Formats: sequence, C-alpha cells, structure tokens
Amino acid sequence: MVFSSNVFLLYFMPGFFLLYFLLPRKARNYALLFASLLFYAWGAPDFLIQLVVSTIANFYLVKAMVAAKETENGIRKTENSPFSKILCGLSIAIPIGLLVFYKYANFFTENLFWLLGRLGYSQFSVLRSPFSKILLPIGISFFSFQSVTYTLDTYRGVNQPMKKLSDYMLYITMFPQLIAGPIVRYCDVADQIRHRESGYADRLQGFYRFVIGLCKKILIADVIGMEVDAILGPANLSAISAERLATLTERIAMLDSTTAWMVALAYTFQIYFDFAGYSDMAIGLGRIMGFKFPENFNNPYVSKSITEFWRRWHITLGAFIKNYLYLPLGGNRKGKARTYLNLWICFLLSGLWHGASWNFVVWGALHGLFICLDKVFNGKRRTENGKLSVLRSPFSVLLTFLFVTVTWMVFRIEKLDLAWTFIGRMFAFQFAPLPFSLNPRFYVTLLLAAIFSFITLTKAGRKLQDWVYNHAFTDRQHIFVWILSVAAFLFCIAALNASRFSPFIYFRF
Amino acid sequence: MNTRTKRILFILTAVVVIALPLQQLHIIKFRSLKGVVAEQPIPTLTYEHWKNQRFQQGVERHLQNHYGFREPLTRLYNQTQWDLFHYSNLKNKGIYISDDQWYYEAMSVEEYYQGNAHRYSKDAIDMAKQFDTEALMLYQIQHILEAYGTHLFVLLLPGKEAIYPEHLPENTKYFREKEITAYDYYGKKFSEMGVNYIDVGQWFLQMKDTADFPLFPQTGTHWSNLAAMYVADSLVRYMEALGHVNLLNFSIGEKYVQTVDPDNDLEQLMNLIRPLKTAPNYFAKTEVIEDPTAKRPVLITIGDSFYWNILNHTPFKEIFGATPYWYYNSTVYFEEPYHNTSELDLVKEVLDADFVMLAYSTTQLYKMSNGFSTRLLPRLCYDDEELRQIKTDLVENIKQNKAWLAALQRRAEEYQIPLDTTVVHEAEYVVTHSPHIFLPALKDSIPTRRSSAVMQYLKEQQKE
Repeated sequence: MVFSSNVFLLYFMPGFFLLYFLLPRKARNYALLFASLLFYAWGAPDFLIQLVVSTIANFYLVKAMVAAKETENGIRKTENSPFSKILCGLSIAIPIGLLVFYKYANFFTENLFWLLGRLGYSQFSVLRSPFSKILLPIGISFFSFQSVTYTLDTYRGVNQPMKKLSDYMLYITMFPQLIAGPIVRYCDVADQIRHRESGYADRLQGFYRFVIGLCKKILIADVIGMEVDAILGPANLSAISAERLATLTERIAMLDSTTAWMVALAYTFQIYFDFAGYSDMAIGLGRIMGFKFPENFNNPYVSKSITEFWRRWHITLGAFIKNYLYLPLGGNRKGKARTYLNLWICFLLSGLWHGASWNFVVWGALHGLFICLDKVFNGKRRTENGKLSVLRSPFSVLLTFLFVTVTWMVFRIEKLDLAWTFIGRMFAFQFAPLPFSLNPRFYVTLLLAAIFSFITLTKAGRKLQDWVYNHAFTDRQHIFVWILSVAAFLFCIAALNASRFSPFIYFRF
Repeated sequence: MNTRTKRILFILTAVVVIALPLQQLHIIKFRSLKGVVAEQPIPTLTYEHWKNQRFQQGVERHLQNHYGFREPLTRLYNQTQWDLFHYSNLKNKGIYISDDQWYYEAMSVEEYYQGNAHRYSKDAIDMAKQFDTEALMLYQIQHILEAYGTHLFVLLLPGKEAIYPEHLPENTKYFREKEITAYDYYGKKFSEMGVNYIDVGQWFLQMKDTADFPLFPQTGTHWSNLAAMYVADSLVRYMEALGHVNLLNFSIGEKYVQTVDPDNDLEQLMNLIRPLKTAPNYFAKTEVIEDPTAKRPVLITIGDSFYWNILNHTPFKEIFGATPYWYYNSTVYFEEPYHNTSELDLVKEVLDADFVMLAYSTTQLYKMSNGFSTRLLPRLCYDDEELRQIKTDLVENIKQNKAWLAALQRRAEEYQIPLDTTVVHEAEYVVTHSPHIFLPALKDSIPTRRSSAVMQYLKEQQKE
C-alpha cells in the first residue's frame, strides 16, 4: 500500500487514526503494530511471514547478545565477549542476507552467468532460471537497515534493547516509514516507542506535513513524471505525437538538446518531489502519533558542492552509511588515500543499494568520484578561505545542480548505453524551440518545482520555509493553514482519481 | 495558545477524512459525471486473489470510480486544470483539441487521413479482400431480399474531420499522408457493384458552406442533431423511392439554441463546472405531416452510435411501424427487455422488415455490418444442418492437412486451448470469413438456392 492510493487515503488512514485515538494509550502501540502488518500484507503478502519471522529471530538474537555481555553476577562487561560478537554478526547477517538474496541474487547470477558464457561455459546458464524469478519484497532496503541499527546501537551500548517483542516489531514495521523510509535509527526512536506525547498542535502539524507531502507527490512529481515517462517510459500507443510510438532507443536517438534537457530537468525535480513528498508524509503521519522522525531532505538542490548535496539528500541514508559503513571502514582517520577509497566504496555501495543494476553502480561510482574530487579541491579552498566566496556561491550551486541533473539520467535510464546516448543528446547542442503550446501544465509545474527547490537561496524563502515547517502557529494561523491543508488534501484526492478517470465517449447510449 | 481551537480543528480534520468514505453511500446527491467507465467488480477475497494482488488492485480501481464526493471533486479538479493550463484528460485519451477549440476523435482522424482500417487486417491487401467480400455479400443479400420485398441499403456517414478539416490541430500533421480509406473504398465499390447506398459525406460537403448551423458540433464527435434531422428527412424520401411506397413525411421547424441534451458529447466528457464558450448547438422541432394514405413500414437499422441522433431526435418512431435498432449487430434496442441479435430468428426478422439499413460512420467501417451479412447470407441459402455438415467436413479436412494442423497445434499451445477446439474454431472462422469458397451456392452472382427457412417463411406468408 502506498500513501498516495485511495485505499490508504480513504480507508486505511481514517480507520487507523480513528481506532488509534479512541484506544487507551497502552493499547495504541498494539494498534499501530497490527495496522503496520496489515499495511505490509496489503502490498507484499508473500513476504509478510518472512518479515515477521526474521524480526522475531533478530529480537531474540539481540537479547541473547546482550545477555552474553553480562557477567555471572549481573555486572555488564565493558568489552564484548566473542559469543556476543558472533550473535551480533548473526543478527546483522539475517536482514543483510535477506536483502542480498532478494535484491541482488538475480543481478549477481545474471552477471556471473554472462561472464561464464563469455568464457565458454554457457551450459551453466540453465542454473540461472530460479534466480530470475525472485521478486523484491517492498521496503526490504529500509527495514533491513533499521534492523542493523538496532543490533549495532545495542551492541555498542548506545541504547538498551527493547524489552517487549511487540515494541521491537513496531520499530521495524511501523507503517509510516516501513517501505520508503526515512531510515530511523534505533537510538532516535527507542524512547518514543516506549513513551510519547502528541498534543493537538502536533496532530495538526502532522496533518499539514502529510498534506504538503501529498501535494509534492500528486500535484508536482506525478504531473512532471507523465512527460518524463512519455519520453523514457514504455511506448505509449495512445499518446498523440507520433514520436511516442517509437522504441526507447529510437526516441532517445531523435531527441533534440532542448527536449533532452527538459526531460533531465523534469526527472531531477520529479525524483526529488516524489521522494521528499513521501518522506514528508511519513514524518507527518509519525508526528500525528507523537513520533519525531528525522528529516530526510533539506533543499538538496541549493547545495554548493556534492559533499553538501549528500548532507541534504536522503539524509537518513547518508547518516546510516556514515555511522555503520564509513566510520567502521576507518573514516578519515587512516590517511587521505584511504579516506577517498572509503568514501568511494560507500558511494559505490550506496548506488547498489538504490537498485540491483549497473546503472546504479555507475551512478554511485560517479558521485563517489566527484565527492573525492570535491574533497581534494574545495576542501583545500575552504581551508584557505574559511568558506566559499559569495561570488562563487551561485556558480557552485549551478555546477552542483548540473552534475546532479546529468547523473540522474544514469540513475533513470537502466541501460547504460542508452543513458550515455541520452547525455550525449543533452550535450549535442542541437537546440530546438520549446513546444510550449503542447503542454503548459507541464512547464508551469516544472517552474513551480524549480521555485520550490531553490527558494531557500533567498532570505525570504528561508523565512517562508521556516514558517511552514517549524513555526508554532497562533490560532488564527492554524485556522488559515488548516483551511489550506484540507482544501489541498481534497484537491489531491480529486487529482489522484481524475487523472485516471477515463470515460468512454459513447456515454449517451 | 488556545487548545480549544486546535481541538476543534483536529475534530474537523477527522470529520473531513471520515466523510469521504461515508459519502460513498451517496448521503448527499450531486450532479452525476458524464461518461461511462468500464466497471470491474472487486474480485472475491480469497487467499489466491490476495496473494496475486488481484483483490487489492480491484479495490483500488473500484474506489477510483466510487469514492465519496467524487462528482464535485472531479469537476473542480477538471475546471482548475482547464482554467489554469487549458489541460484536459481528453487530450491523453485519443481526443485532439485545436487551438480554436475544435474537438476531434483521434481514431476517426487517423482513419480519415491514413486509412487505418488496414491495421485491423494483416495488411492493406487483406483489408481490401475483406471489404470486397463484405460488399459482395451485401450485394447478394440486397438482391435476394429485394425479391421478397425487403430493401437493403447502406448509409455511409462521414467523420467530423472529413467535413471540417480546417480546424484540425497542427499535431495531426503526422497523419496527413492520405491513403485509401474504408469510406472511399466502400463508396467506390458500392457504386461499381450496384449496392444501394447514400454518401452523406458528399452531401455534407456541398451543404457545409450554405447551412446556417454546424453539421458537427464544435466540441462533439457525432453529427449534430439538426444535421441528423435533415439526413433523416432525405432518408424518408430515399426509402419512398427505393420501396415505391408512400411514407409519412415530417417538417423541420425554426432552429433554436439547444440547451438541454446538447450535441457537445466530447465537451461533456470533460466534466467541467462551467460550460465552454463555443459555437451554439441548434435544435428544431419536427412535426409529422398527416397523410392517411401513407404506410408505416418496418425499418431495421444495423449501425453504430451515429444513428442514435436519428432515432432519438426525429419522428422515425412515428413514421415507421417499428424501428428495431441492432446496435453494432449486437443488442436490439426496440422493446424492453432488450435482447441480443443472436437470439433472433434472423431470416424471419429480416424478411418481415420492409427496409434494412446499415448506418456506419468512418471509424466503424472496418467492421461494416458487424457480422450481419456473414450470418444472414448463408442462412438465406443453406439450412442450419447443411452449414453444420460443411463445418464438420472442413474440420476433417483440416485434420488431414498436416501443415494446417501443425499450424493450429502451435496456436493451440500458444493460447493453451485444446487442439480439437482450435480446429473447430478455425473451421468456423474460415467458413464465416470466406463463405464464397466453402458455400458453392454463393458463387453465383445472385445466389438462387434458398434455405428451408426462407421457403417455410414464404409458405406461411402465402397462407396469410
């Protein structure tokens, strides 16, 4: 189930919150857990049992791990025992093993058998068949990481383990962040699971935040995405322009530079508003219940460098990779060369985390490479000047944005050769006039997306953002924002369905 | 801060989100949306349906068309999109909207410019073969029926683009590589063979500049009600001449702007709050001219949706004794409960009628008669038992033909249908689509053989 679906907006959400707030506080976590399992079972019934079983197993493994750290007289050891290390490893191996199996088995075997074929051992290719049928369970990339943070935060002694299995299951399966994050670290949410408060202000602010996310997804990302799909999606036989009947390869090959840039820009904003919208909805839903989930995006496109971009884009993934991969690899403590290698490895794996395909690996590798270059050059300048000069800032923002935009096309177009062809079309400098009259809705939405993405470059924009997201509203302001939010909520439901409403012409009969 | 305000707002939020599913019970009535959506029932909740997501997808699809406040919210959304961006879902659903707000159906435009009828056949040659067969069958039926006092004729109806191509939007230029269209092909063929037909397209083109009303509404795809009235008037005169019979005539009064049930069907599909500012739709009152000597014959019409404008907005039901409408040769719209043409005694129904009209417009010409001719012609010449025997013999022939059988074996495996069933389907298809090969009596220019159904009918008529 996704948030921008009728089932969620019209039944699941109202039904759940009605039940949640009618129940006594003690029962609310159970209601949330039940709803979360139902939420997951709706979209991935096949994997529900595995999710539950692996979660239960992990809970008891961590419990045993902590117990192994205790001395006979009950005093906690400062050092972890070898047995607790084994249990810790096992506890990490279960979610990561499932992730690797479900997400990467097909990819690895495909490449392995391709290689074997090239080496003359094509007879083994029959063994690949079972792997190609593996379906990726939704949300596995997110809840696997959350499970890892639980094990490691407990292992490191940052937090005590959960006492109740139901609380742990709730942490892993909580529906607002179950399938697309944010990746909530155990240490950030442990106390809130046990005890949290949600006043009316929180509930209202949560609703406003949810609606902001819904608008980002339905009114911006989906509208822009339609045009992106018209060029990069499967051939659309019902579309009007004849070019859309061509194959993807043909469509890309015949693109002029203007259209290529438009598509690239559109995808750049689509992916941001889609993902940030989902995160907003998750944060909003959490807040209604009194959870304070970490922010996942902070105006990533105003970044002045790739390093800054990754501090602003998918923040919780960045934090996870930093804390649970980069630092254990040695971080920047083992010399410059090793720092760059560590960074590059992190981004390579981050790319692979986004999808089991070579384009994601290349996308991660490119970002890793440019983050290293950024460290080499900009790091030096920052040391010399203290900070980037005012004059250089707009240029840095533009340059970073361009890099991000171009690399998004590697992310979007699965076949690498097509991705390079597309980028080639962008830089072929064969510009054509914008076909504005064909779809003003697209261009207006694109413009709005750009304005919202860069608004915090101005002081007024930063103030506005602060007012929307962090301001403690007065009663009058609440009434004003509430009216806007309810109107936007209803409008989003209308948009969600009206855009798919396809009546037949011969209606009179 | 006042917690009371926030509490009230929170409660109101709950009311809003809960009101949406509650309104699914239609507690408040709203103006319904125009258009028909293909309703798909929610699959039964079983483990299998849950596992393969059919149930979930079914619920989502169902809610899409049934959520609370759908009507006002959809209109509000559509109106906003139109006012802000001149954007309508119709644009993505096979409708062209020109800059000067003329609406066209893409399928019709493509057929008009490109002769897309052949996309339903293997190629243009195959298409021509099918059209030739259809025209020949209509010719033969026309002559057989004429002997028994039933007059068959075809009404060829043009699409809007053929009459008003000047408003077509620029992006239809991709299709402007004119090939022979089904309309032109049939017109030429009927003319050569002597099949009774009326070319409304030619007539409309002559009328276009002098008529003081639009022949097609600016934002509709079907002909205008007023145009249909004038065609109906001419049809009556045509039938009088064809059947040598005196029919009731009707007069068309002064035209006036039509506000109720206007012609702008495509605009109505946009489901806006406010109507568009377009050229007015006209209507006129009709009056049957009394004539005690006039006969009220039976008119069977087989056709597409264009004919509704005649049936609903002209006095055809008064002029004719009966006007059964075999919509796409499928549902019979006459007396309720409506039934299917397959339930009819076809030979008797047709011989009982005085006129049989096939009224087809541009987009539907590729399936002219919708199987009426392939079903009727063999039954005029052969008994059902004979036809069954011919098919049985063909089944045996196919089974003896190794190459043919092998091809069907592949097809059976591909579609996972038993081979025996595939062979029977093949025999039926071949006989239906190439009757002149398998039914020797049809090889005559005008077949002379008659089925016992025809003979029996004639006997009964003589008795009466």
